[in-house]
Amino acid sequence: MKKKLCTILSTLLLLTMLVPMVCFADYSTTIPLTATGNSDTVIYIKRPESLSASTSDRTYTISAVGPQGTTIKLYKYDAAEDICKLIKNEIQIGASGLYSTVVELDADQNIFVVYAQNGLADQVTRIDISKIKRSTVDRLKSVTVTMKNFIS
Amino acid sequence: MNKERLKSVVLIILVAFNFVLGNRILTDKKLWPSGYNFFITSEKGFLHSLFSSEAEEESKQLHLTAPTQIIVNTGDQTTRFVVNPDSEQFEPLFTYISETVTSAFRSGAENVFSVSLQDWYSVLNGKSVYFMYPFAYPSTLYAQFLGIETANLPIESVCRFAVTTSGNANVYLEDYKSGKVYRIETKENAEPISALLSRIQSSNSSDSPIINYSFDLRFDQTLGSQKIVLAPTVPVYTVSPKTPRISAKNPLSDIDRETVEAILLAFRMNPGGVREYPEVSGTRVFVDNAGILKISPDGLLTYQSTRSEGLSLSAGASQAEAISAAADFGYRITSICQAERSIYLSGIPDADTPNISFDYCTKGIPVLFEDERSPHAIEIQLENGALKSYTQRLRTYQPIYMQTAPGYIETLDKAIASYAEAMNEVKIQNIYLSYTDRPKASELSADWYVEVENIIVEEEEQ
Repeated sequence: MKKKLCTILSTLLLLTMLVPMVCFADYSTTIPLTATGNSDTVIYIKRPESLSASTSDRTYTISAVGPQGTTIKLYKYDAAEDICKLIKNEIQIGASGLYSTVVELDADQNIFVVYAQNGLADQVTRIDISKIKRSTVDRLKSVTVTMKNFIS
Repeated sequence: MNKERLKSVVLIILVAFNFVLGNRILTDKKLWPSGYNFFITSEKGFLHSLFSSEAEEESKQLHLTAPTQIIVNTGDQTTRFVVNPDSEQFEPLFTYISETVTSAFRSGAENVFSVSLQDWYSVLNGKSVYFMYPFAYPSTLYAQFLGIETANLPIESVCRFAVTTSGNANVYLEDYKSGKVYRIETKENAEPISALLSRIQSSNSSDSPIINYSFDLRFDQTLGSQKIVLAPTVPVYTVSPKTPRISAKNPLSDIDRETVEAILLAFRMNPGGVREYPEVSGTRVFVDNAGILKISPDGLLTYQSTRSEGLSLSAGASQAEAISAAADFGYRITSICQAERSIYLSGIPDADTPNISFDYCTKGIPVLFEDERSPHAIEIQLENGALKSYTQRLRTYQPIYMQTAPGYIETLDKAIASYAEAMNEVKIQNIYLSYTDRPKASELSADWYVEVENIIVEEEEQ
């Protein structure tokens, strides 16, 4: 009896150790902002390069590369409900390895979550895009020009 | 006295008309069409230049230096838009950029500066007009088309340009051979073009597709498992644009005698003196002592000169004059046959081919041919200004309805899917919307044409 209990316990222990290694959360229409994947090498986000950007534009194009067969879903954070909602349905990366999608931007802060899955590996990447006023961009540009003049 | 003066005035007017009409008949109608035409020299002479319309001269320049695509960069990706060659705005915009480039090319080597790629990309992300050609022009030839005999520039060949539209209108261009980018400074003010672009933008529909450049999405740099590398300034369409599905017809399917005679006269064959016979395929063959003309039932028109001196087209010896004469001749045949009028220069003689080629462009989208007999709409072989052979696939296109073009990235996926396993990297030079016409096709849909620069294949381990 004692031996049987030991076997069950060790099996359970083994399962609790293995399950996180081989399982992934299969998110559907929502994903928590705090979600994490079990890998960070499924896809590479190319744009925005530093996973955050500022723009005065109404739209933004997110680009990425990944191995063929990788599926990608895109979510947008809804602050009122404190959850990220699906805005772009699942797309599978093809032989080219390229992925790009255009997102609409709201005023101020926009948080997107890219969920990528390939086999047993999955990756959750947060992207922050700030929408700023055109006048601010122009002001920043003029500051840059002034700085350049000053340096030269 | 008054009566005598009136008589003199009427007489002077009549004599003047005599010269005008006489010149037109001699040059256009060709009173001696069967072969030898000594009036060809007068076509390029003083009388012709005096009476030929200015619009005719402009149209010649328009199709030889008109780009196949113009993208207006507004500073934002959402409002960046394409101006197609068939739109009303194309001509004023093209005229402006052509004048600016001419001014830049005239300004001399002291105003040419090599710039970094980052500067080039900043221009494309800022306010500018970006335009491109289907092949790389030698810069001297391009300058000659702009009316500049000798442009002293350190640039070998060009196919991608940008003109800035704020401050001074400076010209940026990419040297196709070396990959270097140059800025040519001009003293032209960009104010007029800026106003024109604002007008175009306000009349533009709001559902224009969003365009990014490859460098902007960093698709020009390999990372991870990425196997495709796009040239930095290739436009990327994340959302597919709407394009017309078109019908394709042969305008000579029920050819009349009058049209046949006009074609024969254009090739300086005497309609009354040619020997005519049909081939088994239905092709009509016309033979005289100078050449053989064939008109096939599917619209393929071919002419082969049987004389060593060919059919004289251009009195001038320069390449620009020869191409210009070839373009005029192609237009003439196109007009007689009532084929698609929108034609662009798509190739010049080089190490690979002795031919000058032109292709059709309908609704702003180029038409490519998948036909082993002739991959271009028009192919002309000239030798010392004389026509040796002429091939034209006669077609007319009409839009039927609008439809969404296939996905841009999906097309790339399909293009490389079959050999993706065996290769390391594919370099894509360009991707653009086009129609692919086949001999028996009656309807065509636009699709992305992928121009591969090279493929790097994995070496097998020994």
